[in-house]
Amino acid sequence: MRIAETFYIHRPSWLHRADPRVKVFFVLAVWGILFVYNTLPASLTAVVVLHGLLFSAGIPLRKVGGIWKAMLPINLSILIVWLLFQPVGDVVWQFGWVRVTVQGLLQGAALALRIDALAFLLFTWLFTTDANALVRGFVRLGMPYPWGLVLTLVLHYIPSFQSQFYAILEAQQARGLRVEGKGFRRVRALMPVLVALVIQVLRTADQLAWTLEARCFGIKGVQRTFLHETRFRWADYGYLAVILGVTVLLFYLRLR
Amino acid sequence: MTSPGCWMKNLVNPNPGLPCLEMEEVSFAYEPSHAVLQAISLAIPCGALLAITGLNGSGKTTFARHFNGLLRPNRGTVRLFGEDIRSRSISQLAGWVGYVFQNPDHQIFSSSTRQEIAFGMRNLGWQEDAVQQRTDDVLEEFCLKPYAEVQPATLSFGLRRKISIASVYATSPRVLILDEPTAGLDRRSTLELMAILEAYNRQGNTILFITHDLRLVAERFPQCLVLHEGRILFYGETREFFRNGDLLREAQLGVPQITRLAQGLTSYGVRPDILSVAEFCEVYGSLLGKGKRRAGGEGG
Amino acid sequence: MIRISHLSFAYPSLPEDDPPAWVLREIDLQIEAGQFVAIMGPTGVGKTTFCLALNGILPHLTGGRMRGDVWIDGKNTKQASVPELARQVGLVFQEAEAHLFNTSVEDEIAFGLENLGLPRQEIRQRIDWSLGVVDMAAYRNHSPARLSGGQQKRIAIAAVLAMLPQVLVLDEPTVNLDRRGVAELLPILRSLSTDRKMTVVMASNESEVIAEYCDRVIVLDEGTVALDGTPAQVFSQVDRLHAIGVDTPQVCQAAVYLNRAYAAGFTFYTLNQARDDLAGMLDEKSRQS
Repeated sequence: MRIAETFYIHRPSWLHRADPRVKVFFVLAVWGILFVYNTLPASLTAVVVLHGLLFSAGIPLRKVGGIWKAMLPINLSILIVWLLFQPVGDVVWQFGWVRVTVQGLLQGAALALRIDALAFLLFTWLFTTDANALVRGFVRLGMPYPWGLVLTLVLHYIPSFQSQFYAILEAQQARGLRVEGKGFRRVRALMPVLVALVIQVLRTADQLAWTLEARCFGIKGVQRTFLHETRFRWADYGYLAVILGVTVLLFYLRLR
Repeated sequence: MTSPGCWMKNLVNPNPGLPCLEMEEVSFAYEPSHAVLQAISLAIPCGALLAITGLNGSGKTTFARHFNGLLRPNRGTVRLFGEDIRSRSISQLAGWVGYVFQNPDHQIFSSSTRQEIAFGMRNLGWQEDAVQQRTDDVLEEFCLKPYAEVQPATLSFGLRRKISIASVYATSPRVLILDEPTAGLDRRSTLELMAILEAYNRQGNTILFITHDLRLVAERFPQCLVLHEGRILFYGETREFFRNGDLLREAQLGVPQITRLAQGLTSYGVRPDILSVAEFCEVYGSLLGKGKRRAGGEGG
Repeated sequence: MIRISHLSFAYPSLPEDDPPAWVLREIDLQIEAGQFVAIMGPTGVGKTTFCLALNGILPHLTGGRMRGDVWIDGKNTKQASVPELARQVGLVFQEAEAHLFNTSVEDEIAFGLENLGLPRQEIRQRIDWSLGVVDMAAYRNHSPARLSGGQQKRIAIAAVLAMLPQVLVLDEPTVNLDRRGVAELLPILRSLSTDRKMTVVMASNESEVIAEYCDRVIVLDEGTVALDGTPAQVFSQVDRLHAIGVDTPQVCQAAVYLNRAYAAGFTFYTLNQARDDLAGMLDEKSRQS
């Protein structure tokens, strides 16, 4: 499975404009809520709300559908495992020693939906936050800028190296390389590809270091500035207030 | 020479009547919305020395990659010596069709130039003494002997390029496809490479040479294929292509400087399809009249 | 602006105790401000190495042995650091497109300016200006990864230009460009040199492009300067250049050939000059007869 070049989908929506720190807070808060409220209605509500956010942010239907498609095998496996190991309750259908119960179905669905909710939470964040904005958010939260730069570079080069890998694989296959076998044998067969890739990676790293310095990175005696403002707007304070308020309320109700 | 159990019966005694490479109504798209090749049909005869050119994005590389299995057509058929190659894997085809990639660093990984050149042959199951012999011959032919024991990754770009070409050439493929092999190469290396390719072609092998160096196409390639927006704009004698002003304009490729010069002097009687400096000088000289030839000058 | 004195350089040897392989040998040069200079030479002769010597990457980041000195506007490259020299010398690498790591063109250009600690307003202005110079203003919010090779090259140049260097060095900028890409790029470089008095140094072997746009041609052979002069002076020496392994414009080859065969005395080195001179001679001949 190839990692997509980027998960970010560019749209001019309110959610996209929200400060990246607000979105980090949102993810953590909802995660906490789902942890505390592990019931089926809670998971279902979370999934519905997240869909609402995604659609209001202009994310196309097929991207959302793509996530459901990716989650399908996970959902099915959870349901099947749960049904096999939870035969207690009102039987709905029976085949041999396999007993499908209402309780089993409901509990399996609850767990599956919770995983789905977490997945949609993650993608709501990734779809609406551009990698650079993400890193800027972290830096404002206190991450040292060089770490932020490393993160940006990693996010850029990982897909790039992945496509290089496939390009090299094709090139070596065109010289008769056969890649067969499983596990360790397969890795051995891939050696010509891996070595060529490592050489490329090292060469790139070298060149990258030169490129950064040639654009004045690391110049002494200068305080680095930032083009984009990562200042909270009134709207961001508003979102934070709502998220905080709802989270605190839900926690209070649950833990009372 | 090649591994026993050759699976292509036609190749044991190739029928001289069959074209070497064929495409029949081939269409290809990387993404559904963006077709790169559109209903391409053509037949390339054995022993062709064919330049493939076109603007960046015209489909040159996509086209060539269908001949060694790197790409499979969405529609249509691709044939090698008359046989549909749909079901053959890339490694199977590698013995017959050698493909030199645009980026030599996508192929280079060995600890010595010698090993790098031997790699393809070993993959194809050649006997070790044949491998050694052929490696020595190829090192000699490409003037790479001084670098035989050096790690190729540490050599300059031009040498790496030469080594990647040599390593594919060493497997003696019947069809040799090269993707922009002279980009970034100096004149001398380009001429050396052309000499090797032309000699190889004279032995009956087919060569496909993707390039956007129109000057090289005009000077050294008798046939050319011009792609434009995924379709064949021209396929035939190079001279005919340069004679056709409309085609040239549509291809937006520009023409070699000497050809442009000739085209600017057509009102004086200069032919517009001049392909080389020598040709131009001959034509211009005859326009100046015979009396002006200086004794001791170079032969026209 | 650029003064090079007795420059010699050898990369670190592998294995270490091997004698040094000198890539550059005893180069002595001076380049005035505002010149558009081409550096030509056979593959592997040291054109890239020469470019790296102009902004200090050589010797600071390459290691190896360097003899002699390079002064950029009075600063010695051995003493100043690479980021410091990068204020005045903008280097566009041959593979610059592979290192556009930001998610938007605007961020890519801003990177260097942020490193310089410039205020936001000035950063925005410089981005506007540099995108205008390379004619890519419409792509400000695009992702560099989705641009064509030629467009990426122009963005890489804009990113360097925005730092307002006095010297712009480009290593083989036309190698992966088709004719359209070249036709878009070269006039930009020419105007930077003519209108903005930027010193432009371009390592390239595209002789016809060089003949048309550059003020001065320096040819390297075996690490040292073999030829140095105007395009007219350098490209007329067709045999010498071919012996070194370097290409010449076809019209220059024609001029040499015709001069030898007909004592014509042609001196043209670009297409337009050639057409005019050759037509002129034919006109004269028909006038005489």
